[in-house]
Amino acid sequence: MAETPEVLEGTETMNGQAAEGTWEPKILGILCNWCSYAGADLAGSARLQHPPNVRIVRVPCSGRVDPQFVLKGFMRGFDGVLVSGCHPGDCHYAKGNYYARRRLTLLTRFLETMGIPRERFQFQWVSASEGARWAESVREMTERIRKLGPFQGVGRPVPLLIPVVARQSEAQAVGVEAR
Amino acid sequence: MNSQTEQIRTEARRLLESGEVSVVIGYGPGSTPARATPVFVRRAEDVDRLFWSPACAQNLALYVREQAGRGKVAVVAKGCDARSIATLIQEKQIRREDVHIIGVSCSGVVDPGRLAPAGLDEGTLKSLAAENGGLKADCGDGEVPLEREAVLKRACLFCDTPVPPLSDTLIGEAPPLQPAADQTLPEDLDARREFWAEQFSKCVRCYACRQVCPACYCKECFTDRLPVGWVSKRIAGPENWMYHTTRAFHLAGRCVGCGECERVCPAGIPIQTLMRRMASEVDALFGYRAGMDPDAEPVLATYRDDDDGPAE
Ligand code: SF4
Ligand code: SF4
Ligand code: SF4
Repeated sequence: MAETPEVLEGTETMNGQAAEGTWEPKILGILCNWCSYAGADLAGSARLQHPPNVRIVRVPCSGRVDPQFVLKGFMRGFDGVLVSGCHPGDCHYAKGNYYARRRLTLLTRFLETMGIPRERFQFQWVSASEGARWAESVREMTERIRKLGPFQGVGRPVPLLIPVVARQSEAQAVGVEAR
Repeated sequence: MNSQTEQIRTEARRLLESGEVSVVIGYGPGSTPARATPVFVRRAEDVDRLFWSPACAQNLALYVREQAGRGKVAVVAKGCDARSIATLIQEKQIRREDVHIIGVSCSGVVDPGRLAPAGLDEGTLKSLAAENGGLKADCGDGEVPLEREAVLKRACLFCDTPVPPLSDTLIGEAPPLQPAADQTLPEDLDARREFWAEQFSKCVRCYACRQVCPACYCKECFTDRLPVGWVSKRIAGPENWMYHTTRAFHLAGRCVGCGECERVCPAGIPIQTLMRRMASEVDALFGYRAGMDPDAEPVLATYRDDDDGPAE
């Protein structure tokens, strides 16, 4: 097995950072390359004001969004997760977003089973020409999460048997980075 | 000897003598009357090793998949086991023509781990039998009826497919039983999160739940792909949560609710509550239940143009 011991540990959540008064919603955004990422880019180049709370991860297609990406986001303590892809019928790979729609709709309901309100997970369509729609969805989601308050995390601490050094590398290994 | 045992042996003998199958996978008596053990019978003269009783808890579909590619096998299957086999056929892990299903109508199987809490001493148990959907046990002073709710594998209480939906030979009739109503999770979402946090904090990550599941056949489970870093080996709240939620999602539309994962869990985590919930969401959204039709497309491997989703 490849030698990357750092990724074995360091999965502490970010809730410690939710100190009073300084808290800002942290949202993980997972965007498809062809539509939503281009849409977000357009929002930027058109100088459309929108909150800086979304950390964007670019994927080739919303069909690439493993529900694990979203679960991992919540595990790491993001306050919300946003997945954005091409409108139905517009997928660069013809039908990736249709598969994504099934999975992520199911995921929305599953998150509720786990006690995560559906307001914390948003799944939407934004095309490359919809810069304004992107900016609006980010504004809207950031405000919604701000009202909900910090996410309380998913697990309860289990007494540790081995000393653990906090590390960031696991998040980097899967491209989920939040600071 | 009960009539199911007799019929299973007769069918096994026929299949082995005719050379139609190379092995019959079934149940044999275990260490106590409340336990059965999987047996592999390869010769017609050995069919008396097979038996049937309310102790036949294992889901033998697991072994059918392991035999894939080695010719035709026969397997003794309850309702849930047959659904697991159908799932494996749907997912192209085995071929329909390579398995002969000896279906047995099932009125529930016993979870030995629940005997002691129900006040039954497994050590003195002399016999355990099913009768008209009820159960009776003999602990040395005659047969007494047992309460199903107290000793059955929990999944069996919710089962609505006791008769295998897929079989080549069918033994017995539908038992006169009604499935129990689904367990409810706390309504309040925070209470729910707390509930799962508490349950998952008990998990020791032995992976027995995965090993016993016929649908968990990945050659390399995400939990073993440590360099990728989805989840670490560390036993900690968030890690355990990640393991369970991911596994639940991997089994979405695939778990048949046999309850083996929960039965083997040494920590007593109510995995069925999670799995049943997922299954009912899949049913509600897509009108699909796992393993009911071997010819159906697996639900997440397909889509419809008019599936629910975000607004345009
Ligand atoms: S938990 Fe998922 S990855 Fe692991 S064996 Fe089961 S289905 Fe495969
Ligand atoms: S997840 Fe559990 S109940 Fe579902 S098929 Fe696997 S072992 Fe059976
Ligand atoms: S069997 Fe129980 S303790 Fe073992 S990994 Fe599964 S849930 Fe955890």
